[in-house]
Amino acid sequence: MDLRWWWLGLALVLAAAVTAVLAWRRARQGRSGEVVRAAHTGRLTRLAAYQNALSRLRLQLAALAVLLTLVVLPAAWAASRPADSELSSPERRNRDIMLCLDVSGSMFVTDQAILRSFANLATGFEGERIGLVLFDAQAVTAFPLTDDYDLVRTQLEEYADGFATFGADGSRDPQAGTWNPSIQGTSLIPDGVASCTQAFDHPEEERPRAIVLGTDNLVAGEGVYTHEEAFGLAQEQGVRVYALDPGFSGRPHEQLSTLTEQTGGRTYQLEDPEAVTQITEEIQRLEAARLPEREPALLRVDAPRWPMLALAVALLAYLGLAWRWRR
Amino acid sequence: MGALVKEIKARLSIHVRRRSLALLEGGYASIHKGRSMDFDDLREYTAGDDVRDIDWKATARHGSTLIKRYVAERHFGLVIVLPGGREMSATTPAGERKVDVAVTAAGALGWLAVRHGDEVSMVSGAPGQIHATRSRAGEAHLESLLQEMHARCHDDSEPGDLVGLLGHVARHVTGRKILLVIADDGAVARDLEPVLRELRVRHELLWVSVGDIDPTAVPAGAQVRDVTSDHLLPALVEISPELGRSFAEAETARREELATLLRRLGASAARLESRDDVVPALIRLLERRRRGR
Repeated sequence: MDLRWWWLGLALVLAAAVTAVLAWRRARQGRSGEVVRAAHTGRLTRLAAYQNALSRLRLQLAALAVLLTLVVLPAAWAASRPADSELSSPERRNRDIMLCLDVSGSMFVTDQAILRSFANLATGFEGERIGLVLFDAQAVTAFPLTDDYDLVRTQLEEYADGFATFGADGSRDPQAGTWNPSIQGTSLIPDGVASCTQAFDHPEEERPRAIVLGTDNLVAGEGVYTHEEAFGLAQEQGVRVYALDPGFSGRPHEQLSTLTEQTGGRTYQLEDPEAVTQITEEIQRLEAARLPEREPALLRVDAPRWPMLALAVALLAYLGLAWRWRR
Repeated sequence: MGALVKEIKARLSIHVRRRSLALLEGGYASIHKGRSMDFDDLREYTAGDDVRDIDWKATARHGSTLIKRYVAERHFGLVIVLPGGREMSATTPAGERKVDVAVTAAGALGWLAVRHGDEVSMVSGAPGQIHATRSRAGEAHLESLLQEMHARCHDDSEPGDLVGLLGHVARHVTGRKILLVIADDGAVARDLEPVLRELRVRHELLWVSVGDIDPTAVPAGAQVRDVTSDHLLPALVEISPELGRSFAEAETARREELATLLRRLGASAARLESRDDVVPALIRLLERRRRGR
C-alpha cells in the first residue's frame, strides 16, 4: 500500500487545516452583522439552564468537528491515490517459445511427451507466445506464435493424440505435409531448425526467443542448411535452442550438445519420456533466468475502497447530525 | 458647553405647561418632607400640589388658592453616585446606550436641584480610582458633571463596582445628602444590603436602575457581545428557547429582592429602560416618596 499522489492528500489536509484556522479566527473576531453590546450577561450565563445548553452545544460541535475530521482525513487519503503495489516483471511473460518437433518415426514417444507437457504448461501461461512447427523432410507450421491458450492447448493435445492415430477418424496427423518426395532425405534437422528460427516474427523486437527442439539428430540426406548454418542463424537472431534428445550418447548427441550450447541453450538426454515434464519446467526456469535485465516494474493498482467507504460513512453521519441539530 | 443641560431642559420643557413639572419640583422639594417642619412661605397652588398643603386661611384672605411650602433644610446637597464603567456603555432594553439614560436621569434631578438652589456633586468610579467632584450649584457645574458621567462610561473604561463605590460614599461623604445612586441590572440585593443599611442612617437614598438589555431577547440575527469580557455570547437561545423563560424568572426574582430591600430601607427606586422613561419615572418616584412611599 503506498500513496501515489501523497502531495495531493497533504495539500488537502493543509487546506482543511488552514480553512479551519481561518474560520475559527473569523468566528472569534465576530461575524459581520448586528452586534448588541450588553452588560451583566452573567445574569444569563450563570443560569444552570444556560450552562446545560452550552455544554450540550459544545458536545454537538465537538462531535461535528470529529466527524468533519473523519470526512477530511479519508478524503485526503483517497485523494493521495492509495495503491497496492507489487513488483512484477512483465518481460518474463514477453517471450516466444517455438516447439520444433522432428516427427520422424523414432521421435513419436518423445514428441507426444513434449506436446502433452507444453499443453499442461500452457494453462499457466500469461503473455508468452507459443508456436508449433513439425518437420521431417520439410517443416510445417502447425500453428504460428500465439497467446490464444485455448487454441494452443487444444492443438497441442490434438497433435499429441495424433501420434497415436495419424489422421485416422479425422484426427490430426502430425506427419501431414512433412514429407516431400522431391526432397532427398528425411529428418532434415538443420532445415527444421532454420524454419523454426524464421518462424519467429517481429525480429526488430527484443523478445527472448527459444526453440524447444525434439530430435535425435539422426539426419538422413542433405538439406538446404548444414547444422552449423542452421544453428548459426539461430544464434544470430538470439534464439536459444533447447534440444530434447531421446537418443543414446554418440556423435549425433554430442554434436547437438555443442550446437545448442553455442546458442545459449543445452541438450537434455531423454531416457524416460516421463522426464519431459521436469525438463520443460527447467527450460522455463532457464528462460526466466535469462530475462530480467531490465529493472522489475512496480505495478500499482489503485485501492480506494476503504478511504471512500470511510468518507461516505463519515459524510453521511455528519450530514445527518448537522441536519438533526440544525437551528 | 451646556449642551447636555440644554437637552435636559428641552426634555423637561415639554412638561412645563403641564402639571408634571410642578409635580417634579414639588416632589423634589419635599424629598425631606417629614424630617423637619420649618414653615417657609406661601405660594400659588399649582396642579399636582398636595391638597393637604393648602393653607385654607391664607387662601380665604388672599382670594386665590395658596399652599404652604414646607422645606426641611433650605439647601441640601445632591450627590450623584455613579459606578460608571464600561457596563454603562452597553445597551438598554430600548436599544439606547445606558449612559445616555443615566445622564438624562441625573441631569433631570440635578437640574431640579440647581433650580432649587442646591449644590450638586458626583462620586464616580470604582475603588482605586474614585473621583469625587466639588459640591456646587449652577448649571455650568451640572453640565461638567454630566460631561464627566459620559467620560466615565466609555467602552474601554474600567468595570464599575457599585458595592465598593457605595462603601466609599459611606465612609467619606459627610453631612446629610440626597444620594442619587445610578445603578443597573448588575445590582444584587444580597451584596448591597450591608452598605445600604449603613448609608440610609445618614442620607436620603434615591435609586435609579438603568435597565440592561435582556440578552435572550435581542433582535433575530443579532449577536450579543458582553462589554465586560468583550466576548460574543453563543446564540444559545435559538437552540434552547426555554432559556428565555429561565432568565426571565431569575431576573424577576432579582428585581423583586432588590425592590423589597430598597423599600425596607426607605429608598425610592425607579427603573429606567429608555430616556423617554426618565421624566415619568422620576415623577412617580418623587410622588411616591412624598406620599410616604
